[in-house]
Formats: sequence, C-alpha cells, structure tokens
Amino acid sequence: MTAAAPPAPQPRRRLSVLGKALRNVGLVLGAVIVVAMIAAALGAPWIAPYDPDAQDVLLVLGTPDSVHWFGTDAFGRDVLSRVLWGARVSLYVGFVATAAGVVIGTVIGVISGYYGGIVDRLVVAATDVLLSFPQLIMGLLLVAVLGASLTNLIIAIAVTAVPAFIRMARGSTLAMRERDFVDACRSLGFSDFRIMFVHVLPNILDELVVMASLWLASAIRTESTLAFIGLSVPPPTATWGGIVREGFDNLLDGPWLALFPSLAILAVMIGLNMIGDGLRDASDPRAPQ
Amino acid sequence: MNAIPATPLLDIRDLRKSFTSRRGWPIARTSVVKALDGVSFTVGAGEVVGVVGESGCGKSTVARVALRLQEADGGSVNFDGADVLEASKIDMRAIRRRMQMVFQDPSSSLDGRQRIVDALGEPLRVHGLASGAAVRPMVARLLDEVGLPNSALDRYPHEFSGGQRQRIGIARALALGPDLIFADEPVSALDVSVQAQILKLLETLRAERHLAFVFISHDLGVVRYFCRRVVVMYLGRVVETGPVPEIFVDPRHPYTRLLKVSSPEPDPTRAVAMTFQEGEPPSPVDPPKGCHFHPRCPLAIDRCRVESPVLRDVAPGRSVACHLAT
Repeated sequence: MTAAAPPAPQPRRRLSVLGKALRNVGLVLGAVIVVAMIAAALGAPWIAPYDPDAQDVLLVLGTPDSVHWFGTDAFGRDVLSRVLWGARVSLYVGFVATAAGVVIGTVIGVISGYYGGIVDRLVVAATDVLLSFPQLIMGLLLVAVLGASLTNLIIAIAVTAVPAFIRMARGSTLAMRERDFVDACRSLGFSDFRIMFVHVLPNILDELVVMASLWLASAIRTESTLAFIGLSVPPPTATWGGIVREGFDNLLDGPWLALFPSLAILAVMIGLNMIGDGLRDASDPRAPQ
Repeated sequence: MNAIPATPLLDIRDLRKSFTSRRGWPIARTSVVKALDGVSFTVGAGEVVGVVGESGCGKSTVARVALRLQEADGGSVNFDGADVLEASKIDMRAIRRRMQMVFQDPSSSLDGRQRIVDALGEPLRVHGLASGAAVRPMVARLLDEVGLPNSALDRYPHEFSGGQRQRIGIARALALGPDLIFADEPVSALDVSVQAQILKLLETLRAERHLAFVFISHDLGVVRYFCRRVVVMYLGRVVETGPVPEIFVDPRHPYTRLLKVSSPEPDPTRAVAMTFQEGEPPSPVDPPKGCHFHPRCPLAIDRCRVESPVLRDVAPGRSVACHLAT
C-alpha cells in the first residue's frame, strides 16, 4: 500500500488567527484600552484617591486640580474616585448581561437551527418580534416593569441581547448542517447533544466571539443611557451614566463633571469596537494579512 | 460466477422517499420529487455493489435513507436480520457500528476543529470500544491500515491533501469495525491519479476485512474496476441490475447503453451502436408518464409512454425494467 507522506507541518489555524490578531494594530490598541479600564475598575478600592461617596461641603463643584484631578461634584465628592467606582458597576452590568445573553441565545439558537421544524419556526417568530424593539426601548420597558436594581438591569440588558444571538447562532448552525460532517457524526451514532455542542458550537464560535465583543459595547452603552434617565442602580452608588446625569445639572458651573465619565464611556466603546473589528478581520480567512 | 448468499447482508425492498418543496408567491405551489420510487436491491456479505446513474437519480438518497440520516416514506431496509427503518434508538446504535458511510467530499465531512486522533478516537470512545490511553494506539492502527503515518495523529484535517483526507474519512468509517460501507462517490472529488490509489486501498480493505460495499458513483469506469454487481438507477427507479462484466458487455436497458456509450471507451474505433436523443434528463419534479426514460429512448413504442415497466428477470442474476428487453 502506498504510504502517502503528509506535507511539512504548517502553523495550525488557531495559532494563525492569534498571529493575525497580534499583527492587527487596532485590535491590540483596543485590547489595551479595555484591559486598562477593567484593571482600573477592579483596582478601584486601592487606586481611587478618596471614598466615592464621601461629601466635602467646603469643596462643592471644585475645578480639576492636583488634589482632585477630575474636580468635585455638587456634593463635594471626588469625581475621579466616582468614575473609577462607577466603572465597576457599568462594566460589571455590561459583562454579566452580555455573557448571559450570549449563553442563552447561543444555546437556543443552536438547538433551534439543528432540529428545525415547528419549534424552530416559533423561535424565529419570537426572535423577530423581540428584535423589532429598539434595544433601549426594550431595556427601558423591562426596568420600568421590574424596578430599578442591579439584577433587574442585568436581566433587562440580557433580554435585549438574547434574540440577536439566537438569530446569529441559528443561522451559523444551519450553515454547518449543510456540511457533511454533521451527517458523518450522525452515521457514527453520536448523540444530538454531542453533535450540537462538541462539533457545531466550536465551528461557529469565531463569529459569536466577534459579535459578543460588539454587543458588550452596546450593553455598556445601554446601561449608561438607562442610568442617565435614572433607571439604573439607585444613588448614591456611582455608575457612569449616573455621574453624567449629575454633571448635567451643573453643566455650566462644572462641565468637567459630565465630561470625564463621558470620556470613560467613549474610550470603552472605541476600545471594544476596535477589538470587535480586529477579531472579525483576524478570523476571516479571505481578509488580507 | 458471483453466487449471492441465501440471506443477503443488506436487503432493500421497495424503498420510497419523496421530497416536497413549497415555492411561489403569493400562492405557494407544492412540488413533490420522488427521489426513490420503489427501489429494491440486495448486497451479500463481502459483496461490492455499484449504484450508478446521473446526478439527481436518487442514488445518494438510497444510502442516506438506509443509514437513517433521512427517514424513508415507505419500504424496508433489512440489515442482517434487523429491520433498520423500524429500529429503536438503542438498536440503531448497534446497527450503526456495522453499517458506515464514506462521504464524497472529505474536507466537508471532517470537523476542521478536531485533530485526527480526536476525530477517529471519538467514535471509539462514544461506542465504548476504547478509552483513555487505549484510544491513541487504536487510532494509529487505523491510520496504518489506510496508509497514513503515525505523525498524522496530531494534525488537523486542513494540513492534508484531498487524497489523504479521504483516507482519514475511510479510517473513520472503519473505526467501529463495520461489515458494510456505503461509499457515496468516494473518489469523484479527487484527482485521477489519486482516485486509483484510493480505489486500490478500498479493494485491499475489502479483501482483508471481508467488507461489503454499496459503491455509489456516476463513473462507469470506476464501477467496472471496483464492483462485482451493479444497480443502474434512473429518476428514482432501478432500471437494470446484474453482474458487472455482463452488464458492460451486453447492456439490455437502453439507458444502460446510453451510459455505456457516454463513458470513454478503451477502443475509440468501435462504432457507437445507437443514437440517443440529446439533452438533460427530464425533471424529477414532473417525470414522464409510463417509462421515465421514453423521451430519450430511440426504441420507445406507444406502450412505453403509458405503462411503466417492472423490473423482471431476463437471465440468471440479471433483471431489466424495459418492455422491449429480452
């Protein structure tokens, strides 16, 4: 029997994606911004120069200086400390809500796409209805009904993410079903569960990760917006949207109050979008190096 | 010559499968394609049966339905005494160990995210044939059997050529120790030189493992080399069956003759015996009445246009579905 010699080893696909990712300047820059923000949020108790809720009536609406870098607000609270602590709430809500949305949406989407049939049609119809609501209106509605609390906020934002991930995972699963390997798995007697989550899921993960990074930005933005209109964690707990709102009341006397938390939101948005775009380019085999 | 054992390993009887599609707006029309319209044939233990026909004639559907990748609408599939179409989930697992499939396109039939050792080890683990450290040597033996070195174990499918990937696909089909393999156009995606190697490999495996094959192909040359008996299909029906040398020397059904004259002949000076109507096969959505082949048949008489011929024996081991065949 002719022994066919395999070709010289080539770099494996996963490594080459990582390699491409590292050569993508935007992706690296975005990752640096986001990681710095996460580090600041996690380190807030040690980094923050003051207690974020401590009021100093003698220093109301203080301009930024060497003592209070970002100035102080209408209650004399240190804005830098509040932005750092606010990052904890804003990023936490964003990450947990997105993670919940990705997991729930992907599981439903893969199952729905794999089995098809009447259940699939119902899922698609429900998804279409949910997706027709703008994300913000949906979040607003849910928080208004459930009441403003950290958990309800996470639930509301996760619910807006679920249909988007159902649609994405379902579509990718349908594409995978067309490939022979799903039939090969079935003819080998593998269970449906194994085929869906050991074979189909890893093959659609690239696309899901790209979309998750973009949705994370969207979730953080929604949280900020809801906080801005007073539908987030009740005061005095600092969140980015809440600080912007407090700053808005004194926009003429102390524009820095709204400016610094806005800049923090902007930086995270840009960072996450750079990551999302970069990951998409890196995982697209047709994209130029 | 090739005596068929008393009880065949695989007995397909009157197998039926239709696909419906609804298209059109605002009023959707339902169209029905009879992919299998009463297909019957048998495969003995260790026998190699070729299923040939044009694309769309239902030859792949036979394999997919027999393996329960799609459910049949009617008929029966009997595998070594077990009723495959009625088998429970648990019984089906046991049947699948003995009945496997090799796919046409090996790059699509392998999971690109799995290393070879995992792709071939997974069926062993799922069916409890090996676990832990015992998997790797078993996979290595399988690779050796299909002519791949041990260094292939930790590679990914994309690192191999088409022919090597098809060897991996064959090794995977062998993993559970089957008695019968459905090979759906296993070499048509490969270069001609590689085709020969893969066919040689299949022939060796057949002899060493006493494997039976249902070899689905549109390439008569390949079928002639590899198969001992052939089933010719046309638009969901079997039109002729018989031993390979006889069918190739003396095809009885006009369609088989058409297939024969359209495949390259070793002797180009030989005269082409019949002239055939040009053109594509008729649409399987709305097949012609009577004998499906009559619009293309130079011998067609009025009877062919109304009455559909049944498959009848014309010689020992040979049957033809044609009113005019003798």
